[in-house]
Amino acid sequence: MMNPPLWVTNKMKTVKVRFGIALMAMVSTFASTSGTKAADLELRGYASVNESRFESYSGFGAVQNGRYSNLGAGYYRRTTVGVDGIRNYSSFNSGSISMELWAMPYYGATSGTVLMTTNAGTVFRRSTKLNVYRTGNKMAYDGFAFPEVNIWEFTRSGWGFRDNIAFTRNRWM
Amino acid sequence: MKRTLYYQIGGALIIGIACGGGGYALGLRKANDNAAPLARTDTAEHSKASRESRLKSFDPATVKREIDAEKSQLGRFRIAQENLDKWVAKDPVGALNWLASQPASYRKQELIRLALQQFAETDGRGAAEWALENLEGAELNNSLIAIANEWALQNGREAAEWFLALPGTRERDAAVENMMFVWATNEPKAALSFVDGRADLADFASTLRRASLAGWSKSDPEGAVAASLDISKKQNDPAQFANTIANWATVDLAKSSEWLIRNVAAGTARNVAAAELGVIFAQQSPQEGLGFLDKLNAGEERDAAGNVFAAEWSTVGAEDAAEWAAAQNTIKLSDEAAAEISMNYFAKDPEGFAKWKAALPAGNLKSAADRAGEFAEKE
Repeated sequence: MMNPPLWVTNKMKTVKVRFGIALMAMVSTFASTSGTKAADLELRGYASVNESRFESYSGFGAVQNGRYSNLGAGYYRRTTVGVDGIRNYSSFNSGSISMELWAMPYYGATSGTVLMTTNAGTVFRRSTKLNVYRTGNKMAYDGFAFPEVNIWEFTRSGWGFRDNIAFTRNRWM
Repeated sequence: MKRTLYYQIGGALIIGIACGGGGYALGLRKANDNAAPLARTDTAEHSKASRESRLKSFDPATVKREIDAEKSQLGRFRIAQENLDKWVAKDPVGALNWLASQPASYRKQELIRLALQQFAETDGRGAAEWALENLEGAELNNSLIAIANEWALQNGREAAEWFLALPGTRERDAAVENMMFVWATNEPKAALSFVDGRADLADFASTLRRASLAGWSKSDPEGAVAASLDISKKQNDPAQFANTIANWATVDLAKSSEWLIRNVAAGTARNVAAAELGVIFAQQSPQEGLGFLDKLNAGEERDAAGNVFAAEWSTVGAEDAAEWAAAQNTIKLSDEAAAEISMNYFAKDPEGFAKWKAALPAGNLKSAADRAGEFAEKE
């Protein structure tokens, strides 16, 4: 399912979504951890990335709502990343989840350049949070790379990687 | 009089909006525009000789004095920006340290980014050392990758040795993995030989081999997959070969899948690779994927590829994949694939899913469909 870019179809709605996410980030980053245990999380279904056609420059670095609050100065595009669902197999609620967009050098790479981090909230125990789409600021990579959407969970031990969906086509990022 | 006043106000508003909109549009940059944001290097306009001559006469101390004499912060950055190219060429660490010492501002981070980029072009080690001391988190991760990639283009072995001498961190490992890919794109055998010669890499060697072979597959795909097949047998790592051929498949799915069928004997390596290609067919071209499955050996090989293909297909075409899974009789559908197909269809189209489920005969697909909704969160 390809979502239309929110900022084109409904600007007011986008503004509301942005405020909503910012508020969630303030609350959950500091309050919502599952404890020391890592939840068994899985990204499910189809992942998508929808970017605005335009970039704007941010000297201070555009605000990030996920694991990192800032990625540095540069050009940014409003971007929506999403996935059909995030599933929690554990018997306890997950900690805060950072859903991120990375630029990978090759298909199957284990590391890459972090382009955007967003807050995906938490997932209740033994459940699937459906249609998790988040809009944020994606740094311009200015090169071809394989996109990857991945999730990180915040516990008392800090941030830990949980799952990823790799795209099989490289694209200009 | 009143009407004239309204016209004047209206006119002023229209001009204001037009100018503001124009300014806003100028402030935006279209995607894929590579224009440098603030400063430009001048190598294109001048010969190397004249550049060296200008550099000789350039004195960083004079610039610093000029900056110190300037009271406005904006003015200080303007002077720094005007001299950045030469300043970084002559005294990169001094320029970066001066920038880092400045109060936070709109220009500061951008100038640091540009200075670091230029520094990396001539001295990867110096740039990496400065980044390690002054950056953290995602900025450190991203900067080290960019620096390592640039360094790998100049001297891959030197870059790899220097980075691997650093304490093992997530950022260091990311830089090394990325630079091995770049190095191997140009010098695949040297990169792979380097990895083989490092006994201290332990499990990380497998990641670096994959990166190197993926880089090789970018410049010489057939050479890369042939080498990867040999290495994967020696290392008992069939997933490595599967990853190499998958990287070829991302650019040429038809040729890579034909190569697999023609050149790899039945066995684990072929099974794992066929499954990996099954994922790519499912994402890029499910109908051609069905043809690919038909060419595979019946039994374990076709089952392995068919199950991951169907599970992945259900993420992009849930209904088609579910119908195919219910009707096909060429593969033995695994419980895991049945669960994936059912859950993905349920998530995409609960009504269509209910009709499909009602028509299923007894079996593992029917059992999986019965359990598909139990994990759905009520929001």
